[in-house]
Amino acid sequence: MEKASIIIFFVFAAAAVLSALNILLQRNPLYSALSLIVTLLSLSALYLTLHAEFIAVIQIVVYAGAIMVLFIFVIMLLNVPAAQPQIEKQKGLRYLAIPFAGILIAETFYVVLSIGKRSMPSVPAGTEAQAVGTTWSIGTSLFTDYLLPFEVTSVLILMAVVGAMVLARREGD
Amino acid sequence: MVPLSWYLAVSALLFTIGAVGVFIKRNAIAIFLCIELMLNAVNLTLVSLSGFFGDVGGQLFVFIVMTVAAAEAAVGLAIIISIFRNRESLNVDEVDTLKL
Amino acid sequence: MMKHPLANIILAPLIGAAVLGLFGKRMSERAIGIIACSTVGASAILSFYIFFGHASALENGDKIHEYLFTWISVGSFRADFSLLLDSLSGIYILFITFVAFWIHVFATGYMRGDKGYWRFFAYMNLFMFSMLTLVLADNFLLMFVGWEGVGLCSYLLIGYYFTKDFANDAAKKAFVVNRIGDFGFALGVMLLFFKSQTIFYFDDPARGIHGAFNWAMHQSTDPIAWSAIFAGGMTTIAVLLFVGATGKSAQLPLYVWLPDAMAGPTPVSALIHAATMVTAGVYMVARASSIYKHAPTAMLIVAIIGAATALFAATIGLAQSDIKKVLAYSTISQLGYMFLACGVGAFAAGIFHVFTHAFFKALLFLGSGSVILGMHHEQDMRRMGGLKKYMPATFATMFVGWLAISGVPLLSGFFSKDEILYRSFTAQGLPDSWAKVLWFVGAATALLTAIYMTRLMVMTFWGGERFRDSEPAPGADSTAGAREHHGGTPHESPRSMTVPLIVLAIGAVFAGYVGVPAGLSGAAIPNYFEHLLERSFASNPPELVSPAVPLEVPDQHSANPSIHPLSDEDRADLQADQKTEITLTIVSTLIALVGIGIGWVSFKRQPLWKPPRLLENKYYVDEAYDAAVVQPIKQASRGVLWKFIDVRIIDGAVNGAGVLAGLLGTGMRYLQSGLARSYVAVLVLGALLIIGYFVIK
Repeated sequence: MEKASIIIFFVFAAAAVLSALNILLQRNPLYSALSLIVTLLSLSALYLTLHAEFIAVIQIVVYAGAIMVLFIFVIMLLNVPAAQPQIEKQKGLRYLAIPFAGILIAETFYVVLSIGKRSMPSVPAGTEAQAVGTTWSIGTSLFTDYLLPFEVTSVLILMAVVGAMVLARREGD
Repeated sequence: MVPLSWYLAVSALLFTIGAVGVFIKRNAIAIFLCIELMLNAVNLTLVSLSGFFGDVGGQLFVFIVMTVAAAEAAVGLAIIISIFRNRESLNVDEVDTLKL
Repeated sequence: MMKHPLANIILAPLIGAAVLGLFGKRMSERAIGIIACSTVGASAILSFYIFFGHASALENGDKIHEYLFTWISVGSFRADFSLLLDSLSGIYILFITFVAFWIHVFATGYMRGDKGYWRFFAYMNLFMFSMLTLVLADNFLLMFVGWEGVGLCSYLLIGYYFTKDFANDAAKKAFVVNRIGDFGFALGVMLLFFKSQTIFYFDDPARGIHGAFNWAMHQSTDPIAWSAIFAGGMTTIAVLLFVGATGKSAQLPLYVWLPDAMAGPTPVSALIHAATMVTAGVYMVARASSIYKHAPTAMLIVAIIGAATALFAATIGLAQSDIKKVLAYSTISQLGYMFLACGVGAFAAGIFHVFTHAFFKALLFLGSGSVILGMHHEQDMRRMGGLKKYMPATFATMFVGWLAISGVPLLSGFFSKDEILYRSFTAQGLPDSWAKVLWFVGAATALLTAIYMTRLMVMTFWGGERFRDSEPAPGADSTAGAREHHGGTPHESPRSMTVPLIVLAIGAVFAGYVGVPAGLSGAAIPNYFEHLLERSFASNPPELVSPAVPLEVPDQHSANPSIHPLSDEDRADLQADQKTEITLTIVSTLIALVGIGIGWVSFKRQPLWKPPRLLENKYYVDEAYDAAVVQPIKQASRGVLWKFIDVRIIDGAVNGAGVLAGLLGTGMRYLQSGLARSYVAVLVLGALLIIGYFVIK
């Protein structure tokens, strides 16, 4: 049983990381977007291994399903030919990537490894419905303890809608 | 069981890849995608910690983050569209009129 | 109003100055004159009233304190605005206000028609305020306030004709030279405070303060040695204070401002540079007599400088052809006498000479002013002559002044000068035969005084009427005052000017009788003056005097003549003194008469005698100062302070700051490239650093 969870973890983790790398490596933004979708799906699977069912599903529905679709619409709308020679200023930045990456990984791994080998607690049988990560638990918290952030978020979405409309219209619309 | 640190390690990797991608890529939309990648890495951290400590607040935070990411994607893409209309190009290096 | 009577003496002229300063421009000349003279007159009346009201107390040596408010009180340092009336300051306020009143009256006539009439009298009143503050102060700091105040007013009044360059230069010279003296004065006061922890003169238990002079009484006397000057004790204090006196009272080496100060209007010369301000130095030395008595080296220095200045100035005065310059050098010379007196311990005699000198010198100056006005602003004596029939009143009064200053018997100058000469001849406590040398110098000066004053009178009032000549006198000098030649006959001055002359002449004649030296009269006529002042100059303050306590420093006389009956041995001593005194008096009289005779004969025959060039050019002292002090300072200021420090260093620093800001900006510019990618790179770099910080922690 243990082994299975580890294997599943590794598979999806590898998928996520490799597709993330692919985002960087592709020149066509459309292919990058598709790679991102793969990453999102892998992450969703990882959430499931963490017993975060609600989030996992939301990730697929909202993130992969809505946001990425939006991205792809915009990519296709703008229709930029991919293989044009691109102007690049400050070519030196390109070479900063590896050092920055290296340092960042070193720092974060230092922190991560000091956390130690604490494992996921097993879900007690009798409290299945109360377990963290179920829709029920998220729903109750959202509408009781965290009601204010919820409302504020709705205002935020309203602002985003208005903003997007204003910014994207043509002159004289 | 999979230890917590492994999840965090994956998250760190994804975050790093996203950060590097932001200043490597010259296509505006690609940059945006990398930003989304970074947000997701953070989500992973939050969810894994939430699961390990049994606190639902982490997942609620993820919920909010996703909402915000959506809003931000909408607005950001709108901006990219307006810039594209102005300059016919998605290369961020060409948008440098704010220099001294 | 009678709660603070002394303060009112000071305040009356201050109010006058304020009123004239603020509103004078719109007033008529008559109103201005009335206000100015009445304030000084009020001070005079009040001074007389207070002085004679407390006469017996002052005779006893009592001191009347009047406290107004505490000015500074920091730690152990305290300075009050408080006034002191004792016999010394009482005498001073009497003659200052009296003489000043008549000079103000004279000035109302002299300055008539001048556009700055109000300004003149405002400054004069301000001067009176400062001088009275100086005299009535009861601590050194307040005296210094008055000291500086009179210096300021002197500057304002010398430079009264501010459109003339030489007047401005003279005013600046006066101020700067005074300042050098003031520096010494300030150091002296500071050292005194350092040693005695107080700057008040006398104890006042009512206020809980101690007096510096009371402290000084308990100090031991410094030895007579050159090293004492630098030892930081009494002698140093005394010498430093004297430096201030040389500046204010125009002694060697700081006398150079006084002749130039004649550029101011004549009433100014009379008031400030004859009767009052220049005597402030003598006042200060007399006031600090307790300190000087404990510093015999300092007293010797005072005496030597006084005598030397007297002779030096007299020789120069002999060679001047501007009538006011002669009187200026004469003032310097007479001031030398006063310091000579103080230097040999005869403080009362010195003050007596101040008193008589105020009368006859003011008289002479005002008379010369009358002459100048009558001659339509001509000041060169070589162009005068034969004026006695055109200006009889002026002539008569100046005649009196002339005799008084020359020391003709029975006039005031005779008594005071003679007393000084006698005291220096018989001075105790001086090394070797200094006393006789000092007497000799004084006597020689007296001879010269008689000669040059006779010359002045002869050239001005007798002889041919040289003002009728068309061509200018040979070797006309160009340092005279405002010159407008209207030509024409000289005329006598109006009554506003002649009346003061008459009053002062009466004073010059009779002022001496209050101080007839005891030696002359054998104690038949009491020496009121000396008796009045003896308490102020006593070795011990009155409270401590008792027969059993030995006096710390022996008096100059074995017994002070007083109005109490004398014992037998006192009488014997007195007779011995009397013989010396009478002998010396006869000598002085001879000197005076011989001097007048020489002058009469020489200058009647040859009024346009050409003096030796050295004397005429004042021994080239001014030129020497210019070369040695003024030019180096100018060069240093220009070359070093201006060109180097100001332009290169200070401006360089300020400009450099600007240049630096510019450079920084140019450098920082490269960060703002407008490229989003580089911004992000910097962001990431920052994030890395912050994370790194927390990781390392």
